Amino acid sequence: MNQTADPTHDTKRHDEFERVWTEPEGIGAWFATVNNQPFGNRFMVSALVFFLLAGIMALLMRLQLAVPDNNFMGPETYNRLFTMHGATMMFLVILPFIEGFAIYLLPQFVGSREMAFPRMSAFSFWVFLSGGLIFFMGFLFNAVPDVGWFVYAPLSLESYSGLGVDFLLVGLGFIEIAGVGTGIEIVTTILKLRGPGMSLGRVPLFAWTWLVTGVMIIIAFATLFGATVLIEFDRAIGTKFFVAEAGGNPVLWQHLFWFFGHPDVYIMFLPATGFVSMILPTFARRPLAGYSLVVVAVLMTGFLSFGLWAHHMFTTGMPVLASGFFAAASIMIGLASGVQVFAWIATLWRSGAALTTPMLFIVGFFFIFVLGGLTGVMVAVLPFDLQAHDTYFVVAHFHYVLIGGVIFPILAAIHYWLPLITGYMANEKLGRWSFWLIFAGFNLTFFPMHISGLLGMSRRVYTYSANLGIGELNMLSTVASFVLGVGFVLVVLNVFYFGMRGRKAVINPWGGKSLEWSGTVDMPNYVFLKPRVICNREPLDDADCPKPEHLVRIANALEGQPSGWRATLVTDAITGEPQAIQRVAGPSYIPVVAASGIIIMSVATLFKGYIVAAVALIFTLGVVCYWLWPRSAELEKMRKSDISRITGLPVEPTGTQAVGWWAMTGTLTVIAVVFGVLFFSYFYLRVYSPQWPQGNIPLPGLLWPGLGYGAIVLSGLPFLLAQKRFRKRQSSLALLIGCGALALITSVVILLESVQAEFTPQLNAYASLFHTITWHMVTLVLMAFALLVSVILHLIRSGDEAPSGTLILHQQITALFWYFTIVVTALVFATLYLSPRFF
Amino acid sequence: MLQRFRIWYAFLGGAIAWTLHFMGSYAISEAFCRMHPAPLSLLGMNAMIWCLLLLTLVALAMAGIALWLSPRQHFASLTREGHHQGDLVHFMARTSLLSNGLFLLVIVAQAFPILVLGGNC
Repeated sequence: MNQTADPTHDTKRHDEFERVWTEPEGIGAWFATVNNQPFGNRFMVSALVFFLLAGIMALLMRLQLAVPDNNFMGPETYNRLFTMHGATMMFLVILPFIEGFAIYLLPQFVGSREMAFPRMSAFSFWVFLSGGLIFFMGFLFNAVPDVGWFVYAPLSLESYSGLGVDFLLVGLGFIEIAGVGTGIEIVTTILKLRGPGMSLGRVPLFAWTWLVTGVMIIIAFATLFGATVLIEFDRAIGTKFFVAEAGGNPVLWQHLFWFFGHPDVYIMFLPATGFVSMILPTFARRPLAGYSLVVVAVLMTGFLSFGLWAHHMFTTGMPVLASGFFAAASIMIGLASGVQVFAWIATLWRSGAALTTPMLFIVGFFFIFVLGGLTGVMVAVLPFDLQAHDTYFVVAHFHYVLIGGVIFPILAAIHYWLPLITGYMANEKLGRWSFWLIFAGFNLTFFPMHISGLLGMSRRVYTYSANLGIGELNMLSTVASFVLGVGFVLVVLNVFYFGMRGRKAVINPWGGKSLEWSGTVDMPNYVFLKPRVICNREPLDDADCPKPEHLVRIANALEGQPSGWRATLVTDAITGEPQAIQRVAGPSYIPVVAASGIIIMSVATLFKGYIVAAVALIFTLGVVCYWLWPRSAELEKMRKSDISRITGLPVEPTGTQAVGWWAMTGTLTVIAVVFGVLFFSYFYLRVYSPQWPQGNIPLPGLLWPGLGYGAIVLSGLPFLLAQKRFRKRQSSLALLIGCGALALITSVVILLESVQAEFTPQLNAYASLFHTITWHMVTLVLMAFALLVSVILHLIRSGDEAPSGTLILHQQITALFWYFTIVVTALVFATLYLSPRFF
Repeated sequence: MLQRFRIWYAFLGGAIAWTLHFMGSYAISEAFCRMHPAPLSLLGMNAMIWCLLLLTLVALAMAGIALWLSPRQHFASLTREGHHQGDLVHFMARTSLLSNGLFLLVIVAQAFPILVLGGNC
């Protein structure tokens, strides 16, 4: 079956590649594999299972709401169902499914042999799956969360809710880690592992939308991670961030949550627009109209989506002027969405596109999403939102956006790319039936909710009075929801029956012109033997475009090379010019073992088994160190191969050429956002407190903290000198050891500040902030110290030899981390010790 | 290095200017409204409005510089790096112009509440 489109297919080279790239076999190997395709599949299948569970919960809720004053279920069960339905759909279904899609298809879209960090894909999947299982574990302990997927304080604090919220929060923590890991991997892959010649102006829109989405995931999920830590501290150790009577503020949680929650909608929506922008041109038989405009619209959506969070909070009593800013941003984002819609309409205009199943879902998407977008502009208008807030009008609006704007394009994508994933075509007749059932079922379920909402039906309430006169509308919604359910069952049947054993697909069955269709129906693990030189936006229609000689030479050199280790080409982020050859990680049990450590630690914490949790933490840290430590044997194999001589490209890239540098940048972004959450919380609570520090806490002293914090800031100078000496191949060990000593002094002094403080974190919100920020600071300094120790060990091990690329990179990313720590240290000192004196 | 920074700034400068303007405007309005419910006056005008207008001017200047850097001659170095990519220069210039222009518009739209609502908390 392995038919490649590559005319220079060579059986011997193919066999050599297969040996290196093929996944291991057997049950044990199922845990060791790290290839993108199995993990793409696993993400998608898991999301589908969670989707079925969320769908069943939705149907049960609709049964309860079918008639007024119904007793099919009580308020407690209803609360649990709407919480689990919302949380499952938002965290376990839509995003993981499209992430799976990206992990599976991105290398083919951008012309790479693999994702940038295959072990990160594996780790993210295991962590995600565990998070999902912990979500549902509450059913086993009769501790299902019932506070809504948004976990609003104070309802979610320990005084008002039980273990169920802990299951939800711990599960969330896992999903945040998985999300951030996948985000960093996707961004790095798109920026650095594109095919030769694929400059930013030739990147397919699928990848453009994922590039923006990846950055959004990193920022939004890191915010949620920081917020989750704070609320879990309130629940577990009694801090007071969200406790109003102790100087905290429950509305702070809403700010933090929606700073994640609103971009999250666009995190799901943008990749869906990527699907539409890829599928439409194929059926319209013409390139997408306004490619550059669509790129700008995607970028604008990504940025503006972070300026909308408080439009979920118009009724919380924010300053009118601040509400005005959010209303303006909410209306302006309609401009970006509008640009995309008009580009799609222009592409379709008089094209005579055939209405196959994927196109039907896209036309359905237009109809539903435009309606959802219009009601979005309505709720962005402050006076209207004050009336419609917490009614079924909002329920109708966000289902129009999320099902119409995201699920419909996903269904189009499933039918469109199924031949590339399974090698079989979906059944067209069944596809049409499923479309019409879903389209009719969806509109008849959710359109009436606009009316029932305007007539006063409250959301998140288990029943309604017959006096409201909305019984018929609700009965219609309930009956239609089952029609919608049948439509989805038909899709599942189509994919898993006809998509597995129906009509065999030919190569490129739709006549697409994007790069993914250049591959095989049954793609080999390494995707291609020879990278394709990209010279336009439609790589399968490149007969007329000249291919630069130097790119052709490199592509030819890479044909079937290197055969002894997994490698892919690294290119420049803007121009797509080849820069280096990157080794890609092979099968390993490390990801699943590291994920297991985190799972044991979290579950033990959940049941207050702190000793087990501490052991698991140490174990996990050990595994991560082992994971990151460079392997001499593998490095030797790379150095001995003659690929570098043939291509003229380095095999141990350094600086911004190395994917490791980008991974570190992503990690630092995550840490910066977590500290951003802490700073925002500090100043938000400060602004709302008439006295600061709260209670009778005196202003913090300056002398010892000044010396302690100053020590690591001072270390910047010896670190800079050490870097200079390293570049000149002079010994930098003594200077680095000195930096380490200064870092230790800092961490001890900062820790003593917390230990010796005369107030506990439980006293009030100021005390909680002081201690929590201090603990985060100590952790950061210790992380920098650990990195420094690893560089020192690496230097000692390499002795007098010329520094390898791996050592240079190791030193560079440590420097990045070190300087970042210095900046954060200065900001923390200014916040905790200086700001109370002036502000 | 400086050239690369200029290219990225020309590409994303408008977006960065809007981000600073938006976050700054929210922080200023929240802080002033909570800490000084009775408006502080500066040169006969509400101090909060002064701060917001100043921030708007800074943001407009930042986005304006990005817009000024957007024409294609500022991306000419990419042709030298890529040897072959005239279309990249064209793409970068066009998207930068569109993006910076639109973000400039958004910053102006974002300033309307300041003018309409004034110091109304």
